[in-house]
Amino acid sequence: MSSAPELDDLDRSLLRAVQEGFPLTPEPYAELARACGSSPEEALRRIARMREAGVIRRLGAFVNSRAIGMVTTLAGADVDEEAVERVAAVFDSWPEVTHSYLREGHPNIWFALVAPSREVVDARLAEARALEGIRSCDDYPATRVFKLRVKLGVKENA
Amino acid sequence: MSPSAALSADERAVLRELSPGIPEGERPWAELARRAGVAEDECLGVMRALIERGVVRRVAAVVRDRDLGYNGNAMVAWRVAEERLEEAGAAAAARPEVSHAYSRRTRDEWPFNLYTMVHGRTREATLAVVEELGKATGATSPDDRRVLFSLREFTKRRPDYSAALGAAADQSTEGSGS
Repeated sequence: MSSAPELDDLDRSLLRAVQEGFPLTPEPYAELARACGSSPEEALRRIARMREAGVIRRLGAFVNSRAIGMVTTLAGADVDEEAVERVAAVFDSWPEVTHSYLREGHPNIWFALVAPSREVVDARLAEARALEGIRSCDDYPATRVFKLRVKLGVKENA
Repeated sequence: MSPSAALSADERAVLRELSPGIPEGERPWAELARRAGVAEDECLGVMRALIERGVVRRVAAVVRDRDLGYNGNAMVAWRVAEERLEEAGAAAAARPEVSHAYSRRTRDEWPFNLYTMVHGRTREATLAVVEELGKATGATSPDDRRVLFSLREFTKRRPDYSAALGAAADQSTEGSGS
């Protein structure tokens, strides 16, 4: 994993712009360049560099999973200290797991699943409960989405 | 609604090829169109239609938190009175520090019905936001919320939509294991 690279004002300006949205036009970098006071070539070069370095983790379409028929949920597992690494590795090996974090408190491993059906989700949860070191594992499907938009503030000297 | 019934063949092709991320190069939509087997203007039309229908929420970048100094991220689980849930969700959504706000089903052992992802540069900054949200939502007692700070990120990757869309021809733009 790379250490944080140096980001200058133009990089930050471009990051603000692409978090807002990537243009749906034939020459998107020309538009981004105009918004940030740069040239299309420079905008392309810098954004490519930040994608390469992992500063931009993802640049693409954010699909409404449910709208394409997928089932999503959030699960919380209560895992013994000694089993955390091993259990986390098992969850990571499941393609349905998109996010997984160790958090303070209990449950302590929280993970998100995106699967083609509820049956697949239930099968994974059953698998989780059978793992050694797991005291419990339950899921909490969303009933309403009030907000889903990650846009981090890009201060000059963060 | 079965996954394939919700999308046209062109929509499925475009979303499939877009799964690994926006193609490199100065005309990415032309490249995407080529991979999906459609003309560039058709491709852009498909994208606009998908956004219009809410199938695609947005086309944008996600930036790595730590590069912007966000070290106080927490998932906060709230117990809000049912009749105030709508208002609480809206209050949370209105805050720039909150990226996600969902209501979720509860369980006896875990009676929290509202979840918010709060992004603070420090723990203190996040806790300050939690305090203010507590006042706005009526969940002012510590028993009404759990502030679950992130200790470690094990997995964070894009969903695998191949069951709904098929697998993209070119997986090289962005790894699904990143």
